[in-house]
Amino acid sequence: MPLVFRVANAGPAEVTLQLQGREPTADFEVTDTAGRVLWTRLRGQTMLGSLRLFPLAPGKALTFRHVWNQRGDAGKPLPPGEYRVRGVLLTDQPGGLASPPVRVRIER
Amino acid sequence: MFRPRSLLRAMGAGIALAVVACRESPAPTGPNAGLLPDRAQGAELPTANDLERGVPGFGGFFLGRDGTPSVYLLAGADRGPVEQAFGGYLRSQGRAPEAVRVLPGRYLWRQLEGWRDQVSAEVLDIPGTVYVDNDETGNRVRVGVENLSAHGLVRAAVARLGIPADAVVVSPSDPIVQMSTLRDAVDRPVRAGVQINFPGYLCSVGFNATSGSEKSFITASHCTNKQGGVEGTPYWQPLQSVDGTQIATEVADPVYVRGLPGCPKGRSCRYSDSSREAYLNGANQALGLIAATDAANSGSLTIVGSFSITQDDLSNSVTVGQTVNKIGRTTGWTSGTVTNTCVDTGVSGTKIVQLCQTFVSSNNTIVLGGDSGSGVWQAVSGANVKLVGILWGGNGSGTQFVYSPLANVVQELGPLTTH
Repeated sequence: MPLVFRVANAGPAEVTLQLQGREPTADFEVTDTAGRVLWTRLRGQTMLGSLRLFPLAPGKALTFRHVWNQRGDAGKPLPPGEYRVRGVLLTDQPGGLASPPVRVRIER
Repeated sequence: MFRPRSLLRAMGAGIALAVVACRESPAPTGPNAGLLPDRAQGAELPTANDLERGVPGFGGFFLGRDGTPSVYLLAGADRGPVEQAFGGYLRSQGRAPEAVRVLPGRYLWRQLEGWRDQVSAEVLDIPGTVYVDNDETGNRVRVGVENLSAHGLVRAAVARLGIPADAVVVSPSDPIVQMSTLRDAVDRPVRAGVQINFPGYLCSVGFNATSGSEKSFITASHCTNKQGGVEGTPYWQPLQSVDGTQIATEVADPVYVRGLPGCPKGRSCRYSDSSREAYLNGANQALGLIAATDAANSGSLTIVGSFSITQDDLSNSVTVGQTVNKIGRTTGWTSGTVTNTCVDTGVSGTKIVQLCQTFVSSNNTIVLGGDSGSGVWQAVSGANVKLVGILWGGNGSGTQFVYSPLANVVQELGPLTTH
């Protein structure tokens, strides 16, 4: 399942994002309908803890892509059903900059 | 009515304009309580300007500890207009207008206002002068000073201005300091834990250290222009845009190499993510000091004091289950429990592996972007701490941080004097 997370500057002025690490890094998170986290792209990984000052001009965007194999953190395929997916840009704020959750459905 | 020294220049134009505006407003021709505006006769407290216009002999007012309006009146002035002015307010409190307290005043409110402005312009540049106030509770101008020297100079200035000595009280005062945070403090000399800026990035000062005779600080290797290798990265504190004088230059940052024992094939390794930066002015080094916030895991970034490094852990003695702390520009003072030691740790998105690192976890957020470089330490006693390493990374949710043990740092950067 291809996942795309886009962070755009929709305003009229340049903004400077404060992003964790040397390069902009985004996580993807899959939860069940009760909000339990079943999979995160960055689980178990160690990120650098510096903070990058990242200017984003009006109309420009950061785009992050990942292909999710529809498995949970334990590596097992998730059963058919409804799930929520969201992207999280790592910043200097707890919880980062997160997208609204998107509903997805695994049919079989 | 309080006017601290730092605001003098900014407020100068405002003060002048305010005086002009008062003088140009329709002035009462004589004592007449009927000139009191509606506000002064309703449930709200009248303002000093209302009272100055409507109450002859008015010398200032304040609310006593019991909430009773207390008004200074010059000798011979009638208390009737005062009772009228405060009648609405007192009735709204279930009290009679006669409850207003009249105190014997010596100077008019407008005289004190003028003298306060004159004194401010003359004395706030005297070192040790803290504030100048038209003190409503005393019917005097009050000048706060830090020391006896300032006291004498203020008294001399008041005499030069021709203001009655009795109209000005000079009293001791503590200096007023701005509260600074780990992110915005221009910290000189520079303590560990505060924010540093190098081109395009922010990190934290790990700890101060002297190498040979070179006064320096230590931060993460990836808090340089290029992780591994010396490029002469310049540093500012807290931001180049806040204080454009460069404080330090990167001078030591060993390159990452292949073939170290335990280094996986195809990866580059080191035993620490650390680098050394030499101060351009050695006087900026606060050797042994870490900027302290009020409590661990409180979220506060306000600097309230310092910790002192009194010991170095050069033998990797930290064990699983022990508590360690760090102070960094993003999450401040946080602490957690050591969960793993000597872990060979891959860095997400790179081919780098840090050998023999220590993991620390908590249920709280204990690390976020910008905390890299923070010194990691253990409490010894009081404000004394033992330095154990340099923080360089964490997990995506901020509940785990990873640090390079101090022994590894010294192995790669050479002997360091930290306190």
